[in-house]
Amino acid sequence: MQDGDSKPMTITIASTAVGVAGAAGADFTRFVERRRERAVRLAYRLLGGDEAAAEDVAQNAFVRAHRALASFRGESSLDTWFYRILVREADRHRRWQRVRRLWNGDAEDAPEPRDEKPAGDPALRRRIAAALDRCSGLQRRAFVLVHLEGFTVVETAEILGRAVGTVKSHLHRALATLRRELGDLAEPARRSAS
Amino acid sequence: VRRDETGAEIGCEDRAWVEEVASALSPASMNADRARAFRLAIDARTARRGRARGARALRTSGAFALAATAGLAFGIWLGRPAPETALPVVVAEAAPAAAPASVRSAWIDADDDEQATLPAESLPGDYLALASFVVGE
Repeated sequence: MQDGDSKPMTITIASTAVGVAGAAGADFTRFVERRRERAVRLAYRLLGGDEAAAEDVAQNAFVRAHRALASFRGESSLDTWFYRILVREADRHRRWQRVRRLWNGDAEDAPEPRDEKPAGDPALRRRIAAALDRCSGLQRRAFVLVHLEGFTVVETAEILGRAVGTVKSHLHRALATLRRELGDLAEPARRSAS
Repeated sequence: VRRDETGAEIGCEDRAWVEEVASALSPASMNADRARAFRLAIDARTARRGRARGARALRTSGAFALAATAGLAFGIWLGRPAPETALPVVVAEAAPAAAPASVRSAWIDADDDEQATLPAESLPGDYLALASFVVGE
């Protein structure tokens, strides 16, 4: 999948930035540029279609990456390293979201997108989010990373810090659950194809 | 949707609905304004985090300085010289016969028949402990 907006940006990182200094600021700008669209999309999918939260999570992940970039030892690819940070950040957000829901005593639906022209069907998005919620955390992450984001199982295992076999097993269970919940989505596509 | 070569390929029956899910769960692409706002937000958060770290370091060093000052003051207080007539005690009842001679003589010399005020340092430590029920500060 291609990143949408690849315009060069001239904004440089603030001088108070910690960990990456000077010329490295320009590197970080490129780092953000290259991953921004995918990072937001991955967060959006992990969070079940909450656009504002996805941007928040992606920004936080970039900030954490910025702090830690200087200490990146190259033991994994930069992408794997960054998306691991992003997935953890999304998990953290979901946990807090759950706490807030418990505290408020109500079940929030997936929020509406902020754009005036929402992309896609909000009801369908809510349904998908609910189905993803029925999967365990690891199943959901494995499904999103492999089947929606196109990471290989090996990359996904590195991002999640799990064994390849564990990821495969969770993928299988996630597919079984989601097939049951969302399998009918294929019907309109089949009908329109025929 | 990319299929994986390591065994995670999805069958034809699943591909259609998974593509529907991928399509439904796709945020709108960022235009230039949103991309700029996104980047500015990262810059602001990075700067804020830097400031927060600075403030935290300042608070930590301030707390250390406060604790060190308090510790020094406490040490000085502990090590202060004992005052000349520390802890005057009032013997509320007649001095017990078991009291040391210094207590009994102080009792006899006291102006008040009922009470005698004795400097604590004149009492032997074990007597002070023994007499704690009849001797009040």
